[in-house]
Amino acid sequence: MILDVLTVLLVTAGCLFVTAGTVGLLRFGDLLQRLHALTKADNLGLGLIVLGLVLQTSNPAVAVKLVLLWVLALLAAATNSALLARDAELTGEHR
Amino acid sequence: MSWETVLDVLLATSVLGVAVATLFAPRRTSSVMLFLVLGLLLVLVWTRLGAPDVALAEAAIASGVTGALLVSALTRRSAAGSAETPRGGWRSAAAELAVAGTGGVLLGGVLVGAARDGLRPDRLGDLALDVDGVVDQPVTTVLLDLRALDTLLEVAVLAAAVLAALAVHREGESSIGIRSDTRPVLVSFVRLTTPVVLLLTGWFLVAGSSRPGGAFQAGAVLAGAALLLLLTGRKDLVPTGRWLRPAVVLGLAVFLAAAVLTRLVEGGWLDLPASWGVAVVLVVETALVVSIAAGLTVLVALSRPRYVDATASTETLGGAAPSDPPRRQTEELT
Repeated sequence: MILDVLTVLLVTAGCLFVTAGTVGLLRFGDLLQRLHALTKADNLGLGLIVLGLVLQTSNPAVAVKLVLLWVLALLAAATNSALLARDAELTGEHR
Repeated sequence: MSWETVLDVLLATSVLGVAVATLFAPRRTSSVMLFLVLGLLLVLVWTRLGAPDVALAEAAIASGVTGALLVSALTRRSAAGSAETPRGGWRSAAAELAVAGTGGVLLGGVLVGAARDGLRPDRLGDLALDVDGVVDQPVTTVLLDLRALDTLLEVAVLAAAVLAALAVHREGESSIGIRSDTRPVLVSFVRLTTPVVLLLTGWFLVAGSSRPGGAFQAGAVLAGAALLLLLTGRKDLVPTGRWLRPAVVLGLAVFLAAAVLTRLVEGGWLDLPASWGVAVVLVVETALVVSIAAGLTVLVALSRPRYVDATASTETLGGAAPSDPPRRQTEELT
């Protein structure tokens, strides 16, 4: 029961962060601001969702896979945004 | 009405909405991005329908590899000219509508016919579940046991397409060396993820006999790893040059060899024996993974814009960004 409440709270909070990131992506003016909104909000949101789901499983293998999913998403998001930001800086497209 | 129904209706509605938006997006860039979103939604649809095999294939091939192909075609085109899609007047809109309507009616007829055929007692789905196949997984049973000839022909088509692409392309396999990008961020990312992707490839391959997975999914994932390695300049780890064509046709060759072997030993083409059928399936699938990965890698790598200096990496960054159109244009003209 407590676990269920915690899961609902964590997943809801995660969804809020992802929504905030998406709103930032849509509303912010240039590439760097958008990346700023996406990388932080989405990574935190996904982390909260994964944490909420981990609480629902009693199988450690599933829990490890869920966390691995988050770590890989973090890696990919960080790499992508670093590459995009660097390109934008060099080509001057963010101005 | 349960919550699941609500979710399913939402999902189906968004698939249709995104499909329409993909077709009518004003810019080609938006169309491609929407198409990739459509792929993601379709993955969810297949998962909800209880077809994880198709979902995996959709994610790896339809979204992953096709997405890479579309994006590189997009950057190439927008470098050469305008990325805007010229929109015709009402006349072309009417023609498009007529084509879509006719296609829809024909497809509907085929689907209704298939649904009617599916009610007959000897349908393939029941056959796959009932048959005492050499592997447990019904999808793999269909692909490599009951309908092995279909799969063989699919593999032949893929091999022919890749060989044709290599033959038609101006530089052939020498242009596989796409311009490398050795920024530390990317290189360390590739270094970290390649082992994970290789593990996933092996898992898909072995899991294909008992769980969702199989050669096509594994091959597409492996192609992703190969492309990342090529992109970061690790040509030493990816077979290019004279090993390329053998890798592309390896799957077909092994498949044909298996067909001949079963004909000689069992008396029927691709008639898998119960005793050593599993070994045949695994060997054929392993060869298929190599060929599918090589084929998809070649197709994506050939579609990448080629640059004059393959070693200039840190100065002229930009990946696939349309940053230096003049140079690319002149290079395309020569």
